[in-house]
Amino acid sequence: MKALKAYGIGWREVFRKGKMWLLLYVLSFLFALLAALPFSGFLKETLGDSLAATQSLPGFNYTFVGDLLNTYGESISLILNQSIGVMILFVLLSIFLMGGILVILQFRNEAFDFSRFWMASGRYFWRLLRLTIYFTIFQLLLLSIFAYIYSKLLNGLSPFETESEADWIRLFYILAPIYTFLAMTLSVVQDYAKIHIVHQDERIITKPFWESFIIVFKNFIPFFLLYLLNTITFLIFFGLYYVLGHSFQAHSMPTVALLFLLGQAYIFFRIGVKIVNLAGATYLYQEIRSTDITN
Amino acid sequence: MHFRLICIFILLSFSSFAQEAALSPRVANYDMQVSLDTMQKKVTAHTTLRWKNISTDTVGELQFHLYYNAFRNTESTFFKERGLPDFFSKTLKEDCEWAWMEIQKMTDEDGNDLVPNMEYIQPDDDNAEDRTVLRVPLSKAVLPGETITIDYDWQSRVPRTMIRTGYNRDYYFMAQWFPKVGVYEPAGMRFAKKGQWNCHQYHSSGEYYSDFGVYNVDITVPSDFIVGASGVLQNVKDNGSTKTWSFYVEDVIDYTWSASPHFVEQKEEWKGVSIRLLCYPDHEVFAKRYFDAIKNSLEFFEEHLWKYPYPTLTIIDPPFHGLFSVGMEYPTLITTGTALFIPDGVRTAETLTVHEFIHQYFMQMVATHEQEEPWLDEGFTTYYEGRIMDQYYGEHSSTIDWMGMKVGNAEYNRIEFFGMDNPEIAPNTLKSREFPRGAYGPISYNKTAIWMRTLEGMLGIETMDEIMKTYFDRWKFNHPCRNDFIDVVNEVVRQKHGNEYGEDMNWFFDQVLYGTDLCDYTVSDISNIEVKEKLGVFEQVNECIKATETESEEEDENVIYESTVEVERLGNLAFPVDVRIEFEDGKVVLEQWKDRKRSKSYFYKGTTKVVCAEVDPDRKIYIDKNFLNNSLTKEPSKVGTRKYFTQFMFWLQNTMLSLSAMV
Ligand SMILES: [Zn+2]
Repeated sequence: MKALKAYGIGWREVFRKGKMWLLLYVLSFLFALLAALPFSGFLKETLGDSLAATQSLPGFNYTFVGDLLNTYGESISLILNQSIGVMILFVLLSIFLMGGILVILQFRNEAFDFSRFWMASGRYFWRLLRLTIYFTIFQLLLLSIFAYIYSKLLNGLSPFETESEADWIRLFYILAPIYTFLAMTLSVVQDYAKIHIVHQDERIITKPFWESFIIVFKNFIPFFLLYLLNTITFLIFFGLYYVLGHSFQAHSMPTVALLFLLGQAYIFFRIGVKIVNLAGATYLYQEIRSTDITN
Repeated sequence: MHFRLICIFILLSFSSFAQEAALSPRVANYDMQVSLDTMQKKVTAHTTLRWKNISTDTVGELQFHLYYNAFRNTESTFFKERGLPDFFSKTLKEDCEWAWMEIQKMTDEDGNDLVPNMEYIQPDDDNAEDRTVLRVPLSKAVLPGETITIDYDWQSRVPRTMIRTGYNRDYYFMAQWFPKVGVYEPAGMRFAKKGQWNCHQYHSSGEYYSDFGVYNVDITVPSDFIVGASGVLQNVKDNGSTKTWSFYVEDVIDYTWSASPHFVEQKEEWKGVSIRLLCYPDHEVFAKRYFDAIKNSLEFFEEHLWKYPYPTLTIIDPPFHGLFSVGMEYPTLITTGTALFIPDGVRTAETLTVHEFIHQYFMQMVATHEQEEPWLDEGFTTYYEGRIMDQYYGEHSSTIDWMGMKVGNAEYNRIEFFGMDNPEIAPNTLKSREFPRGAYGPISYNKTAIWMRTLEGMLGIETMDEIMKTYFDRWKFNHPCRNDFIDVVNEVVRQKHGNEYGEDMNWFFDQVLYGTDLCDYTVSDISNIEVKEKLGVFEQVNECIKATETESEEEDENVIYESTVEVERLGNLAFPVDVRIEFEDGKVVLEQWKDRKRSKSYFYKGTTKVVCAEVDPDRKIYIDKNFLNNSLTKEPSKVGTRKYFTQFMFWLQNTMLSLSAMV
């Protein structure tokens, strides 16, 4: 019930802080545009006066893609390398903005305040950066442990040492849910660690780190359920995008425009779900803290 | 007397009928009694070989392949060429699971012992440690037309998870497993300048070449084993702890079998051909896909070449631990394969089944030399694989049709070949073992398939089908080489097209078969120049041409344009190509560029401008390495580039958001 309430509050907050939602979307758009512009120039240069791009429509054309990679592989990898640079910058920006988002969500029912947002963004950047690095290491460690167990139990994944590939599938079906559960739990802990840092203005991050572990395990069900609800919401949006995006062929300007709008709507809602999750988690965190204090 | 004459006549007619009924010359005929010891991993066998000398030479020796000796030690030619791959290392180095094959006794029909004079020879590389070819001098030479009968006892140790053959756990795949006589080539046959044995050592790349014959094979295995083998199952005799499976097959060039206690059997029939599938229980779900692929292929070849002439076809779907034997072709027996984690839209099962089946025609019936001219079987097979897969499973989705990703079989060849580091590294005519590392597959398989499709595009599908049918009819149950194929192409093209493509088609093969150059056509320029009205005094000083009143005031219907379209040949290969030119008023002109010049210009004068031009608009020249530059337009549509930009942008945003989930 708590989780459902938090989820509802999350959505209300998203719409109340519409400006922040829009800001985050615009930033993602601009960063992607920054990385995509060289690709636009590349397309114009290589295919602008050719019929090839138009002839390759509709759908996926392997000959076209293959020729593009064979002929312009170097240029494409250069563009992709540049994009990776932009993506790293975007991750840093996301860390920067996280402080702002959390502070804005801390003041529920209040409208979005730009100056508060930017100030908080700067204030918590280094702490959240360290936290992100630690949790990324934990996630990688978790993944490596599971990959190791998987490989070890399957004799080093050598087909010659395997009776049937069904053994691989069976073990995958056993380990994947456990791994997903643990990885999600780690993400939940990370969310509350972030909130804890911002709300308590903690300077040393090991304290919120352990405290968030304790908080999460004490209130595991609502915390995890909220995360699960948001994950399901994200999957629904993705499913909708996938189904709608494949329901028509984009081979004319209006249909290409529709594809673009559909993609942007999905991105917009994806960002929305992220805020819902943080807003809901903030609510749960505040609820638990207030109960702790009154007790 | 009269009655005796009639009897002789009937007998003679019968024997000549039997002679006519044989599909092949039946040179090498084997009776084999084989026993598999699954504890020792050993095969013990007795073989009776009846070898017929169909040449006009007197042959004084036989040469045999002893393939399993390739896995005898690190010094064999096979391992010297390949190195010791990781997954073999443990079983070989630590467990000492080296394989071998030895002839213990060999006698001719007069009881002469042939063992003392036999010796291992190394015709390819003089590697004295290689024991994969055995030379057996005969006590009595075999005269032309004569048949010699040789009896031999032999034993072999079965390798574990070796290339194409061996065992793993209780799965056995027995290919290249028995001492097999080579091919005697008299002068004039293929490339032979004098009568000689063609019996190569076993190399890391390339497979086999052997003569047609009849096989009578009894295979004794533990009683719980199921056996799949080339030919028709005659009977299964229960000996208590073992069973003897007897098979018989005519007019094939090799013999292969497989055994496992876990095989489950499924059978289907197609126009008198019994199709037998042996797979492990968890792969029964793929049965329909295998059967459908085989039936599609049988139907295709019945229509295009010849109805499959054998009464049986056995498909083995090896277990996961038998991956070493996946995707192989042997007479009337093929191995296919897929895995349960491969999505249905990725058509590995169909592709492998179709490919290996096609080898029944190119390699088995038309028995070219796989080691010397791999393109003649692998390339032809890959070409037909593209045709069958694209016809039955969708032209642009036959190989992969999954999650919006679509890949056609024929188009896959272009990516494999042009995606190589250096597609010009070797010509098609190299022997398998001569290809630089990584070049054998893309050149023997994919490049051949691409230029065959180019030939089809140039000549039309009807001529191409006639070429292939003529070649097949002429050379089935025989051993042709590249010259025989080229001769057929020249003959059919001359018949159907006269001199349209020149005196012969050798120019084509010089480029694609013997040459390594690439092909790339492009439209480099389109210009439309408005013809200005001539003004002033010309011949007669008293006659001045003045500007007309309508001069460029408004868009005049009478404006004349001089348009030029320039087409260039960037690669060294040259083929006759079509050039399609489209004008502003919708008129379309189709030109043909046939010469070998580097560029060609087309001029037009009229009231309409050229808006776009495309070289090879129907993609007939499939060997063109880049179709992106084949067209040029004055009125570019932005739909395509916008769509790709939109998709790239979306992908970037989505990836950025996924990465930021780490925060
Ligand atoms: Zn093949």
